[in-house]
Amino acid sequence: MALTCVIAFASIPALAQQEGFDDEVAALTYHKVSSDPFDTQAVAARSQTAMRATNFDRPDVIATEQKRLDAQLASANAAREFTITIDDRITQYDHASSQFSIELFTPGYYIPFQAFGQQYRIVFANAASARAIPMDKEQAREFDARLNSFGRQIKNEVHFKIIGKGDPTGAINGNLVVRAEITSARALDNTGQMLFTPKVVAAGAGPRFAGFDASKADVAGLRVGVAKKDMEATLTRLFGKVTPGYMSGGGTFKGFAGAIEVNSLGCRSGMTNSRKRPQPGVVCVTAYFDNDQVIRMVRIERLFPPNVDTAVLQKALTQKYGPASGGRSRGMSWGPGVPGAVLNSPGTFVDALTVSVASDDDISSIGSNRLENVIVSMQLIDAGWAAKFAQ
Amino acid sequence: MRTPTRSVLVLCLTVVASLTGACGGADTGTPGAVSAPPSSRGDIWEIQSPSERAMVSGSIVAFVNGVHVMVVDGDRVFAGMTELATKAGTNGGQTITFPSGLSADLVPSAQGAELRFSSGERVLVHERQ
Repeated sequence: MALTCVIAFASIPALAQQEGFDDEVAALTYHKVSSDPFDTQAVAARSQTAMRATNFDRPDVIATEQKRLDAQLASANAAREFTITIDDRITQYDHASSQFSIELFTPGYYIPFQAFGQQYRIVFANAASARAIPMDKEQAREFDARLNSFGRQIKNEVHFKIIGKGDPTGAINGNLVVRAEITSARALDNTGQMLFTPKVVAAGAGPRFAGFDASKADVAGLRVGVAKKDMEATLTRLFGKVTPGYMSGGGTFKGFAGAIEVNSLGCRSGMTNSRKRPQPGVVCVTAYFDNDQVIRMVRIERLFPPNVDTAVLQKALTQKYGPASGGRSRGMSWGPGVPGAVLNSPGTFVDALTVSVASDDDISSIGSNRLENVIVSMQLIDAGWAAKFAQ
Repeated sequence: MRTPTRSVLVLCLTVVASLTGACGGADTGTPGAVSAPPSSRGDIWEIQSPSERAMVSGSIVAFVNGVHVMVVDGDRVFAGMTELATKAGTNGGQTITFPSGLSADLVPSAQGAELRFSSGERVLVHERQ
């Protein structure tokens, strides 16, 4: 089963003549806050002022324009708050989650703007907190009728600060993606009447995903760099009996002294003597430790029913770990790369965190139309420790 | 519509009592702190294995964030070896905050309790017997 992204990327145009939004100031603030290089000479060279100048005067005009841009860039205020009002839409009521959603604050949506001959795209790091309009069913019926009376189109007034670069959800890729933090927002109807004020939660200090750090990461709450006895106690408490693990290839796994496991192969059909196929909900864990009895790698798997939405998995992973550094046909991964020698695969590098999705099929699946359960597997290696095994 | 039975109501009250505990609405825990769960204190709560698509999505988010099986010890919640920040939430439940900024409301429901993630997914949870 391939891990696919089905997010629809969409831009929501800003309304003309925004009083609280200057596109050039926003662009300069972005470059200052994110340290994304801004080539003032190139921008000066293609400015209208330079274009209008004679060939004789153009070098001086460009130099003057560049000086002006450099000064503007230097004086850009990182704390500045912008306000923008956009044409937006409120979705249909989701009966499962008892809420409406504001479209702009959905992953994959952004606000485009032009400055200095380039297109920038604004995404909001804390959009998730502003997205939902929770409501019980009776209240929602009345609200829904009101929305229908004006075609669900709203004015979304967003107050925000620019905090960095890139989309933390991973949905919007490419250059000049402006990461912003909503400070407040208001949803207004077509007459300017207030519809809803989202409760906004701060995005947190600084870019959260400056880089994936395996030593601070966890897979389903499980860690590397912890004592074997603590891992063993945790697994026993959560999942039951822990047994010594088996490492295929024996001592060829550099650095590992042994493994402990729970339910080892119990997540895969045909891997045990039992004829009974594993059922959704079953969990399997293997944790590898070094000579100091410290856990250096952990793998956890869980079986899910066939109707897993891989886009939800991808979104959850990206929200937790940041944009993936590697994408494979059957999963995602996050760096840094660690020497493959620790996995009995010398001469290669693997990412510190890998997540894979596979169908639980066996020999009985051949020629069958049966939808197979899905195994989601997450594996984390202590990258700092593994680095010493570089070939 | 199914009417909650007495046992379910008792379970709901247990959820509220065990999750709100003595915290009095104050924040507890540090998001993402490394901490093995208590070896015997507290209760183990786990997600049900759902078949409906909406709940399967919730179970995926729960697994990624380690609350597919969790130890609830009063107002402390452990996802694997990671202690999560909690505070009293709406509807008599508890709000769990993950290091990523994601949060989840753990609220009593007719079937026991429900995890409602701020990203929109939800899944039923029950106490392991």
